[in-house]
Amino acid sequence: MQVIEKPTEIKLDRHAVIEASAGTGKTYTITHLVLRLLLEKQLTISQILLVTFTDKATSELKARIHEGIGDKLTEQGLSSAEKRLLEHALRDLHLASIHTIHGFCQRVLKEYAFEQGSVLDKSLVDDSTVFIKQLQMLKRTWPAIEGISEKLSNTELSTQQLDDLLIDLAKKVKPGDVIYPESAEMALLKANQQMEQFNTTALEDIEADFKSLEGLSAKVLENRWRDKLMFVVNEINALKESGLILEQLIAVFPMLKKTAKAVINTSDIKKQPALKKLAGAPLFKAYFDQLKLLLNQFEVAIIAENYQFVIAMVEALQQRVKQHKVSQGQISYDDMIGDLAAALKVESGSENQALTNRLRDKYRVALIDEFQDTDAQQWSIFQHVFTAHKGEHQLVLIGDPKQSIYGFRGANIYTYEEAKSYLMTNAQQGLGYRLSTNFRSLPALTDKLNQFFTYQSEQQTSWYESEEVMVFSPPKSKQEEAGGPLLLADDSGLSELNSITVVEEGLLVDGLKQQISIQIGRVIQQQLMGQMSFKRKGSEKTLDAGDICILVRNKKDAKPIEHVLDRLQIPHSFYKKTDLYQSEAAIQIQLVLTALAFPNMKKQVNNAWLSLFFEINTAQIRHLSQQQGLINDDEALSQFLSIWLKLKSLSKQQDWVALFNVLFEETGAVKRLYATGKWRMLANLQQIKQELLKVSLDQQLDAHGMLHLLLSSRSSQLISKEDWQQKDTEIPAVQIMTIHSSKGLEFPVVFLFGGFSAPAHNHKFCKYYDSSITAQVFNLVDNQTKLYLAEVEAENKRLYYVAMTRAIFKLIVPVYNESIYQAHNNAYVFYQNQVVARLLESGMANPIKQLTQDSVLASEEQKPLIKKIPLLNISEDLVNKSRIIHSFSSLQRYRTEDKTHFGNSPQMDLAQADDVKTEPVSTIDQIPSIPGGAQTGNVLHGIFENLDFNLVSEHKNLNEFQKDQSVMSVIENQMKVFLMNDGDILDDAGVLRSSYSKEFAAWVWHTLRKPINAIGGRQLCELEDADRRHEMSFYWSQSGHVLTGFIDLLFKLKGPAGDEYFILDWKSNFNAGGYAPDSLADQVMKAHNYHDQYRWYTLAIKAWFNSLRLKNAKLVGSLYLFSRGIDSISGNQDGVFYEDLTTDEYSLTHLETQLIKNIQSIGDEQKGLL
Amino acid sequence: MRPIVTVNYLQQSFPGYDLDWLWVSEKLQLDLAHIQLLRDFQSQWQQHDPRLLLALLFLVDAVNRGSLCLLINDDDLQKHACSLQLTGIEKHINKLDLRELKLSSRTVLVLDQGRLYFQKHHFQEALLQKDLSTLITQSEAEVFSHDAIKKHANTVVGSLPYQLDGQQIQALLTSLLQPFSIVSGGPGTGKTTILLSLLRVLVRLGVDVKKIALAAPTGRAANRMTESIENGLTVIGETGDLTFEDIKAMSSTTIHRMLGANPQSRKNRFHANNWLPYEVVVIDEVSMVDLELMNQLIQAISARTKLIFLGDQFQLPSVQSGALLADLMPPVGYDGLNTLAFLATLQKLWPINGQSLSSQSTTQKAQLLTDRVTVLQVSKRCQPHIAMLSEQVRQGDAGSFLNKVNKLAGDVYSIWSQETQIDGVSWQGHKDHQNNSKKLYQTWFAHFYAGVSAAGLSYVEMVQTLRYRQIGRVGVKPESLAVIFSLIKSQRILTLTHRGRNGTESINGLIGGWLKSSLGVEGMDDCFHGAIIMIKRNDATLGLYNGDIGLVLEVAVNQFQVFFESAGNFQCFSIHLIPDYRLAFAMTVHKSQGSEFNHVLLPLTENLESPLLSREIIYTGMTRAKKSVLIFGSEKALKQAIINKTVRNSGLTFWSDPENSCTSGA
Repeated sequence: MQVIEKPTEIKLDRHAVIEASAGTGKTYTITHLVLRLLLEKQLTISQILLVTFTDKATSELKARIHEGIGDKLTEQGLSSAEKRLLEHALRDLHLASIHTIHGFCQRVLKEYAFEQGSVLDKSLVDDSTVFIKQLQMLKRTWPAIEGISEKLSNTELSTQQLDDLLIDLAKKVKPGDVIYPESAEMALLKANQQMEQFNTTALEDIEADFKSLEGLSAKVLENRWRDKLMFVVNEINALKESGLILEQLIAVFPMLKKTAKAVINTSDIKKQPALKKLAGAPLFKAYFDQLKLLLNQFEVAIIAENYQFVIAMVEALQQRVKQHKVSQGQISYDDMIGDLAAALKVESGSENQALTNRLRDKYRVALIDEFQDTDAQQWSIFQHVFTAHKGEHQLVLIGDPKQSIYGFRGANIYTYEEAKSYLMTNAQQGLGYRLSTNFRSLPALTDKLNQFFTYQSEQQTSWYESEEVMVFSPPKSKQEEAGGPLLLADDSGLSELNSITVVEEGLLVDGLKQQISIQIGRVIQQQLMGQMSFKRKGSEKTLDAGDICILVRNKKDAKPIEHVLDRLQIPHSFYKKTDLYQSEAAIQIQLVLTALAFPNMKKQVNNAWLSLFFEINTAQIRHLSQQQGLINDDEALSQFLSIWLKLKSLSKQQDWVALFNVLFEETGAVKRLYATGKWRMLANLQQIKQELLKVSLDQQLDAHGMLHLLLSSRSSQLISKEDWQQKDTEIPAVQIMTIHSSKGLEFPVVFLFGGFSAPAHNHKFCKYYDSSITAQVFNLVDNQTKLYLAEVEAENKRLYYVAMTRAIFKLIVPVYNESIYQAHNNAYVFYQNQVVARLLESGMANPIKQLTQDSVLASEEQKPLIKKIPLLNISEDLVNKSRIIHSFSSLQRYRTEDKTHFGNSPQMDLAQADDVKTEPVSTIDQIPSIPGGAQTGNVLHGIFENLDFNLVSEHKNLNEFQKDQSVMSVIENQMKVFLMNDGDILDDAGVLRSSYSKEFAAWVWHTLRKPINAIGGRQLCELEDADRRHEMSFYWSQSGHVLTGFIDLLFKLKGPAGDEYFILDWKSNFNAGGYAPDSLADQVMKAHNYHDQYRWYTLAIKAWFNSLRLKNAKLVGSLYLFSRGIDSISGNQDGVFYEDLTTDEYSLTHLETQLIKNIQSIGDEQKGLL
Repeated sequence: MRPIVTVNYLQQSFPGYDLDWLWVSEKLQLDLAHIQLLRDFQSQWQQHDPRLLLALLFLVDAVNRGSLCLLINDDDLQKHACSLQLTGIEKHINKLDLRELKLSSRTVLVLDQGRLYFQKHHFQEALLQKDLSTLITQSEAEVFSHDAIKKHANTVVGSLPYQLDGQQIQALLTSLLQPFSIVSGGPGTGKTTILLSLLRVLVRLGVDVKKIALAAPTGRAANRMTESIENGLTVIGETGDLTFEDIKAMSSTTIHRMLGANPQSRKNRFHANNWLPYEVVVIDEVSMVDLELMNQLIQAISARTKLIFLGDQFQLPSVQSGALLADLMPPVGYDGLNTLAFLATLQKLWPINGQSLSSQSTTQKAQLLTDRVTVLQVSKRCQPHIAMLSEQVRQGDAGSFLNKVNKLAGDVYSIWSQETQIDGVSWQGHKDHQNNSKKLYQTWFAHFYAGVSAAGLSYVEMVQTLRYRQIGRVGVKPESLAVIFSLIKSQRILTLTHRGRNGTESINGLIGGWLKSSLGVEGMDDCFHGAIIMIKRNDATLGLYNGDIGLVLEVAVNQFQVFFESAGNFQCFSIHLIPDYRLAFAMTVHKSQGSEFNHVLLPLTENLESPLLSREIIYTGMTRAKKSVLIFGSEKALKQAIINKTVRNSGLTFWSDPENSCTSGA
C-alpha cells in the first residue's frame, strides 16, 4: 500500500484500492478523481459509475462534484478544450450514474429488463413482511409432515422463537453460506472420536487434587466426587462400551449434563471466590475441562439431530419467498442485488452476454465507495463487469476496513479483503493506496487517537498496526486554507481526549449509567455550552447544544441520558427515524387514523377521542352517549363534535393536508403542546405528518391507506433509505445517536456512552467467517467458537474506531475502575477490558474533575434557563390557509362531476377567512353596506366557488341577475353555511335600498363582469369551467422547510405562446382610502401582508409547474379583487390589484432564497430570546 | 376485501396441470381458502389426474354459489372437460377411492350417489337428515286432545275480526297436531295471523308463554316478528282474553342468541346435550337459515319440543350454503301434501261454518313430511296484478309475464303522478342509458321526496322544518317524525347490486345530492340533514340491528342525530356512536327481505352474465310491493332474470321422487 497525500498520486489507468481512514477526505478524493477522469481521460460524466452507501451520501457526492467542476471552471489556465469538457460534464451531471448499490441494481434491472428477461415493473416490498407471511403459509403444510410434533418439540424452541429463528436465518443465509451443524452423523462421529480420547484411567491423582480444593468442606468435596463426578465418568464408560448410539445418548444426556454441572458450579464460585477458575487444582481443572468439552460435543450431536428440521425449513422458506415474490412481481432491496448478481452469473457462463455487454459499454470507470460494507454478491457484480477485460475498465474501491460495522446487516469484511487481494494480483495489476492526512479533527486529537489505537503494553495488544491506522494532520497553513478546524477560544478546561468518571462505588450497571449520565449532563451544561468558539469549514461559531453528540451502543442506553438532559433542560434529540414511528406521537396519530378508517367502531372512535389532540375526558364521552349526541350545556364538547365531523369529512375527501391542519391547529393541540413544553412530541408529530403527506400525495390514499401506511412504517424493519437529519425543533439540540448511525458524520464534541455490560447471550446462532472453508458460517450450536469471538472483538474495535473518530475538537470517554463498577460475573465486556483498561493504564486521557450538585445549583442561578421558544410563524395568512396540491388531477377533487356530489361544497373553515383583521367600521365614511368581518369574506368566497359563472354572462343586467333564483339560492346557501342572517341595507336617508343577499349578488355581478385590463380587458365570467381551479391547494418544500396553503382561484387563459396562468384572491376588505389600484397596494395589501402572500403563492405554483414539466405553462400574474370597490361599468380599474409575475423579482430561485432567508431570520429572532 | 384468485396463483398452486386457467379464474367462483385447501390436498396425490382437480374446482364453484355438492354429471363440467379433451370424468371419479385421498390424515371428499361433497358438507347434510327424521319420528312433544284443540281453535278463530280461509285453518291445525310442521307462503298469505292464532290457542291449551320461543335468522327479522305480533294483536283488539298481554309481551330473538352463541367459544350454550328448555319453538323466515345454523338448531331441540317453521320457499335462500326451506318442501309433481286420514281428522276438527279445507289428499305414498307441510297460496294483501305476475316469475314463464305486464311507453318514466297512479307491475323497457336511468330516478325523487304526500307536505318540506330543532326537548312532536317515517317506509328502490349505474351506491348518491340541494344543506356524503340510512352491523347494546332504517337530522349546528323508529316510538343516537351504516334511499333486494313497501322501483343490472339476474331476486323484489312495482331494464335482462333459476344442489331428501313413489305406493 502506497501512502499518498494527494489524489493526484493515484494512477488512472489501473484498478485501485484506496484505504481512507476516518477523516482523511474520502469524498474530496472521489470528487478529485472524477475531475481527473473527465479531464485527463476525457471521459464523459455518464461513463463513470459512482456507487455510494446511502442516499444521503449520493446527494452529497453529487453536490460536491457539481461544486468541484464549478470551481475548476473558474481556475486559470484551462484550455478551451478542457473547459468544454467540464461544461459538458456540468450540463450532463443529471445523467451521471451516482447511485446507492440498491439504486444501481434497481436501475439496471429496470433499464435492462429486456436484456435480463424479467418483468418490467416490479413493486418494492419489505422482505420482513413477505417472510412472515410465507412462514405462516409454510407452517400450514407442517401438519402433513410425519412426526411433526416430535420434531418441533426437539428443537426446544417456543413457537415464537422458532419463527424468529427461521425468518432470521432464511433472510441472512445467502448462497454459499454454511449452516452448522451440517449433519447429525458427522457430529456423532466427532463426539465418538472425542469420547475415545477421553481418559478415564489414573484418577487417583486427579481425585487428590480435587479434594485439596479450598473453599468447600472435605465432606462436600467427597460427596461431589463420589456422587457427581464418578457418576458422569461411569456413564461415559458405559457409553463407550456400547459404542455411541444416538438414542442412548439422548436418553442419558440430560442427566449427564445436570450432574456434571453440579460438580462445581457458578454459585459455588460466587460464594467462594477462592474457587475461581479452580486455580488450586490444575490437574482436576484440565480433566474437568476435557469433560466439559466432551459433553459439549455430545450436545452438538443431539442438537444436530434436532436441528435438521430447522435447516430443512430454512431452505423451504427461502424457496417459498422467492417463488412468491417472482409470481407477484415483487422485489425487495436484497433481491435487487441478488437478482442482478444472478443475472450476471448466468450470463457469464453463456454465449449471450447482452446485459454484461451493455454495462461494459456504458461505463469505463467504476468508483465504489464504502467498500468495506460490501458483501460477496455485490462484489461479484463489479468483479464480473469491470475486471474481465484488462485495461478496458478501471475499478476503484474506496473504503476503510476499520470502519466496517455493518456485519449485522450482511456486510462482510472478508469480501473486502478478498476483493483487495484480487485486484492487486499480478493478473489485475491493481494498485493500493492509503490516504493518511486527517482533515477532520484537531491535530492534538488526531495524535491522541493515533496513540490510542496503536497503544500496546504487556496487558494490552495494539488494536491496529500503525501503518493501518496512523493519520497525520496537514500543516497548519493548509489547515487554515481548508477553513478549519481551529479552536478560537476555549474556556471549557477540557483537553482533547478526556475521561469522565464518578465517585460512587460498587455500582450496578443501571446506577453506573445514571451517574455517568449526570456527569455528562453537568459537563455539557457547565463546561461546554457557550464555553468554546471555533472555526469550521470557514465559519466561526460559539459551541451550542447542536455541536455535541452522545454516541450510544443501542437505543436503550439513550434513556438515562435523555432523562438527565430533560432534567437539566438541555435540548436534545435522538437521531433515528425508525424511532419516530415507535414514539408516542405515532401512536396518537394512529389512534386518530384508525378511527377515521373505521368511523363506526365505537371502541376505536373512543380511543381517538381520548388522544392528545382533543381535550375531552371519559366523563364527557359518557355524557355524550347518554345525551344521544345532543350537547348544549357543554360548549367544549359541542365544538369538539364539529371538529370531529370536519375530520371525518376531510378524511372522506382525502384532503390530508387540511385534515392534519385541523387535527393539529384547530384542536389547539399544537398550542397546548407548546405551552407545556412538549417540543419532542410536537416535532415528532410534524415529522410523521410530513412523511405521511408525502406518500399520500403520491398515491392518493384514503383513510385505510393512510392507516396502512402508518402501520407498515411502524412495523417495518427496513432501515430507512433516507438518513434523517431533520432536527426535532428549530432549536439546536444535543444529538444522541447510535454509533452505527453516526457513520460519516462529525461533531465538535463527542461523548461515548454505553457498552458497559456484556450483551445478553440471546442470539439464536452465531455468524462468522471460516477461512478454512472460505465460507460464512451460521452456527446454531456453539455460540462461543473462537472464530466467532474473534470476529465479535474485531467488530467491536471497528465500532469504537468509528465512534472515537467522529470528534473534531473533544472526545469524552467514561472511565471507571473495578471498585466503581464491575461488569456482572466478570463476563468479558469489550468496553471495560479494552477501552477503559487501555485508558487507565496509559493515562492518555485527561480526567475531568467531578462536578457536584452544588456547582450545578450555583450555575443555575448565574445562567438563565433556556427560555421557552415561541411558535414559529411564517405568516398567519399562510398558516391559516392550508391545503395541498400534488398532481393536476387532484385539483379537481372538489369539482362536482365527481359522481354523486351535487351542490356540495367543502366545509368552509371560519379560520380560513382572509380578512379577519378588518379595520373598525367607524373610521370608514361610505355608503352602508354589508358589515366587514370573517363571515362576509367566507360567504363571498363560497359564492364565487359555487356559482356557475355562466349565470353571470346569461343575464343582461344586474336587476335580472338578482332575480335569478339559482343565483340567489347559491348566495342564500352560503350565508346559511356561515350562519349569516340576511339583513337590510338602508341608504343615507334611512330608506331600504337593498339586502345583504342582494348586495352580495351585486358584488359578484360587478366582479365577474368587470373588464380587467391585466387580462386584456376580458371578464372573469367568460372563463370556462375547465379553466378554473378554485381552492387550489399547494405544497412547497425545500431544505426541510415546508410551505402549504391554498389559493382562492387559479385560472388559465390561452396566450400566444401557450397557457397563461393567473392567481386570484377574492377580497371583501374595506379600504378607507378608496379602491384605486395604487392605494390598494399601499394600504390594504401592505397592512395584511398580501404582498408576501402572493409571493409565496407564486413560489409554490412555479415550483409546482417546474416539477410537472408543463410545457408552455407560464404563471403570468396575480389578481386581488376587492369586490366592495369594483364597478363593472366604470372605466377605471378600482378594486383590482394586479402584479406582473414574469419579472426577475418573481423568479423561482429569487423567491426561494428570499423565503429561506425569511424563515432563518425568524429563527434568529428566537435565538435572540435564548 | 376478498382476496382475488388470479391465473398466476392458480398456475402456481397446481404446477403440472394443464388446465385452461384463464377460463377457470374468470368463470368459476373461487375463493382463496378453498384453493389453498385444494393445493395442499392435491400435493398429496399419488397420480396427478386433471379430471379430479377440474371436478374439485367446479365443486368449489358450486359451494360458493350456495350448493352443498356437485353433481358429477354436471353439464357445465362435462362441457368444459370436453373442450379440454378430458373424457370420462364421471367414470374416473366413481373409480377413485376417495377415502384414500387424505390431507393431514383426514378424508376430504365424499361421493354419495353421484354427488361430490367436501366431507364437511356431507357430514352436516347427513346429520341434518338424520336428526330431523329422528325429531319427527320419535317426538315426545305433548299431544293435545282433539277436543281441546277443537274447542280453543274455534274460540280463537271465531274471535278474529276477519275470516280465515281453509288453507290458513289447515296450517293452524296442522301445527297444533304435529310435533313438527312447516308453513310456507308468500307475503300477505297470512303467516302472521296463523302465528298469532297458534300462540293464542297454545296458551289456552295450557302452554306457559315462557315455554314458547320465537326466533328468526337475523336481528332484523326477529324484530319484525315481534312487531307483527304486537300489531296483529292491536288489530284484533282487546278480547277480554287474560293471556292477551302475555302474548303481546312476547318477543322474538335471533336463532344465534336463542342458542346462546358465544363468539369466544365455538360452542353454543344449547346443543345436543343441553337442549333448549322450551315446549314450542317457532322460527320465522326459515328460507334465510343456512345448513350449519339449521344443524345447530335441530341439535338443540329436544324430543319434547314442538317445532314450527314459517317461511317463503320461493324467496332468496341464505347467503351461505344450502337452500334449506326449499329442500324441505316437496318437489314438483306431488299432487297433495296430506294423507286422506289426516284430512279426515282435520275435517272432524273443523266441521262448522261449512268451510271446506280445500286440500286434496295425496295419491302417493306417505313421506316423512307428509301431513306436516302447508303451503299458503292465497295472498290477501297483495295487489292481484303483482300476485299474478310474481307467480309467473316463480314459474319462470317469461313469455306470459311480458304479455301481462303493464308496459310503459318509450319516454314515460313514471307510473305515479299527483292524480293517478298505476297499480300493479309495470315495466319500462328502455335501453339502459345514463340519461334514462337518471330521468327515472329524478321522477322518483320528484314524486316521493319533493312531491306532496298524502300528509299534505312533501318529505323535503317536513324534514326542512326539523332542522336545528331539538326533538323531544323543545317543540317538535314525534307525530311529525311518525309521518316522515311512514313516508320513508312507503317506498323504496330495490337494486340487484351495490356497484354500477343501477346499483345502490350511485342511486343513493344521486338522490342524496338532489335532496341536499333541495333542502339547502351541506354535509358529507352520508351524513347530512334528511339522509335516510341503513345500519350495516348489529349493535346489541344500542338495540340497533343490521337493516334498521334511520333518519339523520341536524339538531344543532354540526350536531347530527340519527332517529330510529321502534315500536311506535323513537330512539335517537349521535351519528358518531352508531354502527357502520350506508345511505338507504335505495337498497339491495337481499337487504329488503322481510320488509314491505307500497311502491317499489326495481332497476335491473344490464350485465347479462350476472348471477344476480335471477328468478328468486325478481320474485323477492316484486313481492316486497303492496301497491306498485316498476321494473326498469331491457327486455333481454328481464327475460334472462325470469328464466334463470338459481340451482342449489344438495342431497337432502325428505321427499322421494314422485314418479317412483307413485308406482310403489299404489
